[in-house]
Amino acid sequence: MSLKSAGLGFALAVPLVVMMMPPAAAQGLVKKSYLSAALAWEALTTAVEACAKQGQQVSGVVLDPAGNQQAFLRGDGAGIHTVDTADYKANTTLSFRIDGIDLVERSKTRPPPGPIGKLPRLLLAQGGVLIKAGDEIVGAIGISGAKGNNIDTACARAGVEKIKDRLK
Amino acid sequence: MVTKPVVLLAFALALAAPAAHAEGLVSTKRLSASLAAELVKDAVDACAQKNFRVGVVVLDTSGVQQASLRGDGAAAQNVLNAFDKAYTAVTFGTDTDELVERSKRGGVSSAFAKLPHLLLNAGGVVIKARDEVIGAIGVSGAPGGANDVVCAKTALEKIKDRMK
Repeated sequence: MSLKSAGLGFALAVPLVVMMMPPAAAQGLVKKSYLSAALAWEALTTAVEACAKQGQQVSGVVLDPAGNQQAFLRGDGAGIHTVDTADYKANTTLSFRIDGIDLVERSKTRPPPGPIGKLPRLLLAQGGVLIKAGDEIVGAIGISGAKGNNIDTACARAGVEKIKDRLK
Repeated sequence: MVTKPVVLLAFALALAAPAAHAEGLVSTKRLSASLAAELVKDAVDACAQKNFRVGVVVLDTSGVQQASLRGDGAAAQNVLNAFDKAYTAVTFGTDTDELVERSKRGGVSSAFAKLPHLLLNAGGVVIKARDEVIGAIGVSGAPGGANDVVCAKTALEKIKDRMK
């Protein structure tokens, strides 16, 4: 009985695992997409300006899916630490494949394992937002420096919104 | 009679002192975010038009990044190199191609090579408002540092009248 149910469980688990594999699961090469410099720049400057218009002095960064910097801009008056925190936020979002704001929420009930906090460039904070083309993560934007609840995230999302119809 | 040379010397020193020479606070300048943004974008575009794929970084005089853009097809390390070129230019207050020449004549101590972010390669260009260094731009990825310099200077030319 227990063997049979174990077998059934396994049979069910196999297709489940296959379904959970990323769409790009390939035999040979894996293809990844990332933003053109023009789109990365437009998203970034839109986001930093969105914050500047509200008097929020921020830095912003766009990272490619490998976590390498594509574009960066420090707004007038943004603190020097924002250069790093914008990067950490975008990198954390990419690494966990979830917007920082949602990761913060999730961590209240399901905190990430302690040792992960020791890795470089991870920061559990709002302000990192994924950039997706369909289901594929093609980058992330990180904004840091705004004072007030989740304003960094709103500015980052304004940047993604601006380019979202051209992500193809 | 004895004081005359002293007065002249003091006068000469005052002339030689930096424009911001002050008793109390020292004021420095840096590019506005919008000019810094324009500068990196123009430099990437100037190189892209020649099919040079480059990374570009603009630093203020503190060596802190103000803006950066990696052009299509440029490698991640081009951005890192661009940073180091800009950092080297801003810390010496001298374009890096000039520093390369100076080092050939033994004018740059080899001890500097051990410091982080110093890179003796052409492509780091100081940004000046009148005679004051207010930052530097670094370009990396074009074939030969001289081509990096051309893209940097083309972009600088476009904003130079607005640096005040």
